[in-house]
Amino acid sequence: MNYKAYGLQKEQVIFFQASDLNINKEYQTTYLILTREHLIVGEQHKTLQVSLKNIESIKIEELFAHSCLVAVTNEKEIPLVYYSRAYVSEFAEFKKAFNRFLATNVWQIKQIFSLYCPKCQTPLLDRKIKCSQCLKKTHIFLRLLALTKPYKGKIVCLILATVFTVAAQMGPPYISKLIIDNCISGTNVNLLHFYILLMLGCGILLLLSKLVSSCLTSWLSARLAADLRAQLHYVLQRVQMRFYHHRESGEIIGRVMNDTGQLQRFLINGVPYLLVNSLSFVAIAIILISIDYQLALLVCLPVPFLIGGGRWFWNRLVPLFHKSNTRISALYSLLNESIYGVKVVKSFSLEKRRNKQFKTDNEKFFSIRCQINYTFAGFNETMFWIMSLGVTAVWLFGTERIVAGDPSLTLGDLLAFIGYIWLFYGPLQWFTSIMNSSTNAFASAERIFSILDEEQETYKVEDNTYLPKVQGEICFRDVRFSYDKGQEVIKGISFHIMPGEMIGLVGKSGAGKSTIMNLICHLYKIDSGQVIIDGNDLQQINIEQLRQSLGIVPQESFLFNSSIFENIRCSRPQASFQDVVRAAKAANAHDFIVNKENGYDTLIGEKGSRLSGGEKQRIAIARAILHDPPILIFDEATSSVDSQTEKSIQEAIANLVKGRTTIAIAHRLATLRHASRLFVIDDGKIVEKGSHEELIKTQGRYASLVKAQEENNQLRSKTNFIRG
Amino acid sequence: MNFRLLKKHGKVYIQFEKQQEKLAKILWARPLTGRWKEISIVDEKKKEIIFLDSLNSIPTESRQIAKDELIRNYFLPKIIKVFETKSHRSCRYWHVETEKGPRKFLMKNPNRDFLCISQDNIILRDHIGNCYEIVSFRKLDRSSKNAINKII
Repeated sequence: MNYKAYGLQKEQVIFFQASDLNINKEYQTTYLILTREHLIVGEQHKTLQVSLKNIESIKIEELFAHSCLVAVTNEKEIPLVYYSRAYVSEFAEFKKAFNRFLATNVWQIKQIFSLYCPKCQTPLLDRKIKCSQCLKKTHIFLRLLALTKPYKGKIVCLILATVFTVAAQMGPPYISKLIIDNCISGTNVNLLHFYILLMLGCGILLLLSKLVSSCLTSWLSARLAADLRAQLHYVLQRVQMRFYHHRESGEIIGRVMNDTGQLQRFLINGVPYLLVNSLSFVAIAIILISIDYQLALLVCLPVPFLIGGGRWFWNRLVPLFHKSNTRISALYSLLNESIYGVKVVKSFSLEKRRNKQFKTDNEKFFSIRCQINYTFAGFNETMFWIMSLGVTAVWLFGTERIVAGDPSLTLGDLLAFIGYIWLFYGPLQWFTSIMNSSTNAFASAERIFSILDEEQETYKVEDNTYLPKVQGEICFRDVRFSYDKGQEVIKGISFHIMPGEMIGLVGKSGAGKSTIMNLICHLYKIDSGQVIIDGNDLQQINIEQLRQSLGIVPQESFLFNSSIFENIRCSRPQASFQDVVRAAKAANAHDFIVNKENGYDTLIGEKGSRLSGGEKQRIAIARAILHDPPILIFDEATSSVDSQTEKSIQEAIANLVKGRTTIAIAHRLATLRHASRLFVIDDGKIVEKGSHEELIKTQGRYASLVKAQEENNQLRSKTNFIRG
Repeated sequence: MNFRLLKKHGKVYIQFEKQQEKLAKILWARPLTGRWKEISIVDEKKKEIIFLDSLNSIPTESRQIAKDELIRNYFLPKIIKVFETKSHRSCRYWHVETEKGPRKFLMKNPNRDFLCISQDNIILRDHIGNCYEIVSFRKLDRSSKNAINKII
């Protein structure tokens, strides 16, 4: 930034932040400059200057696909700078740091990585990912190489096998030349058997070395991919929850499976190809020049066309492949919806519409596949034709020289040349595709490394406090938290829960109740304030121990695709069958389990698809009972079940909460009447606190919620009565 | 309609006959597929105050305030030329000229982010949620059409 353009000296500037929109919302770099006295907005020709003395705070106004940073003064609100979504994090951090600066006069701001490559300005998929266009392949290659360290013995064998493969490939054309020149055209027929043995030897060497190198490459590539997958899975279990916030599960699974697959394919096909062909290329070039340098020059003539043609075709093919992937994924998702949503499709008679849509998408996919196949066919035939031009030229000039009686070229030389030409040209046509796949493989590796480098939860830090036994005292002190930068969802919450208390969290959807639960579980780091468990700051407590002390029953419990027994026992893997049965009985789940054909061995299907909502919840409660934690968390545990099942679950919960700190969220307020205290949450703040009776007496927010719900229940029972 | 919109200190207020004015926000019900059609006016707590089928049904002065507010709240630059498009991995890279200046952006999932509103009208969404509009595909120049066809 040019400070002088705004009449400033460098030393006057505390901080500046660029934005991509000017005040007229045109794409133009605009700077927001902070000095000791002013906040300055600098556009190309004009500046806006606001004295810090007049600013009470700054805030962010969220607009459609862009935002505005607004200065709040005692008189009015001044729009300072507009910015697109690309700068959301930067300005959220700026807002936080600036408001702190106003209060403390200390400037401190967290560094945010740009969403554009600083070198080529290409938009990046993720702030922490390096630009794939400017990727330094050597750095990634060295990191990949480091992964092979435990297998260096095998790597050495692979290199040796490659050298033998090349040597064995070079032999036969040269031996053919010797047979023709010495045995057929010459007089030394005795050497024929020796040459044939040599040729057989070359064949056997080629077979063995190829077998060894194929086995080694397959093993090494599969091993490296498996190592990477395992490392990725390990890291994915330990990264902070924020990592999952803006990533689709498909994208993450894609990185674990597709990117490792892409890398594996390159290691299997690309690396041996590059090794063998680079060595062969040099070896053949030397042999051709040593036989006849003039013909060797002729051989080189089509090379630029082969490389250029290959490049041209691949540049055409790559977008077609991407289009084909997009089309097939559209087909997949349509098919997926048609299968999973078959009931909806049938009940609303959507079959015709869905069929039409599928047909249209299917035709689009067909047309792309045809284009790919035509381009491929054109590519292969054209490349073959270019190669045959080289061969024809060698035949023409070679034969003319032999017929003219040139002693420097024999018939054997000519036939050896022809043999080597195919070995020489063959790899060239695929050279661009290999370079392309190497670029993709390096991009995959980079993406894999970006996950491996992701910040992980600190499970065991040296100075982590290991609590002798968690009692269940929970304290929030002015806790603030936002999932997305700039959008605070918990706005300075404070409370103190004593061990054994039952607390109900009440409030409308989106008020921040579940977020409080997430913060107690330390699934996210808070922005400011303190969460204290048994007198110790949550940041200092060993995460593993903390989570072992928590039992969570969420609104929709996640069950693994295994038996009921395994699903209950997963909270305490060393529990006996009797322990599991006791937990299931306490959760009112035992009766329905034993009535199933396979009892506790019943497989529950993907996400528990073979169980009803109430059954799933009771298994989740049994799991929590078996876990036997000092702190229990219920997040709308009974919201998705009927009244009869709810009663049964409530009984199970009553068995569970005795003597434990319990925090429960429930929309049906009647279920929280027995809570020691209720916290009414609204817009990220606690607006009321007290027991049911106390809150009813105060006639505040809670009382009106209870009244509204009672009216609703009465209306419902009347409707049911009318329906009969 | 017995209400009017007012603008004070940069903020919009709604006032029904003889009632106190309330802070209001004006929103399109369908910002991508039905701009300048249905409008929702909500209060500070994001609760709808009134839903309008069209702006034409309100007095001229209020209509102008609503129009200005909608223009301020929504940012959907129109693409007038496509310089270059590129496919890399499963992403599509765009370099375009919009009415608001040149822009480079990345599209992650064309099935989701290339929305054909009609045969001719297209909305593009980049991987972070910025939106761009091609008002008329037919009216784009040949090289822009080729660049789009290359990747979509």
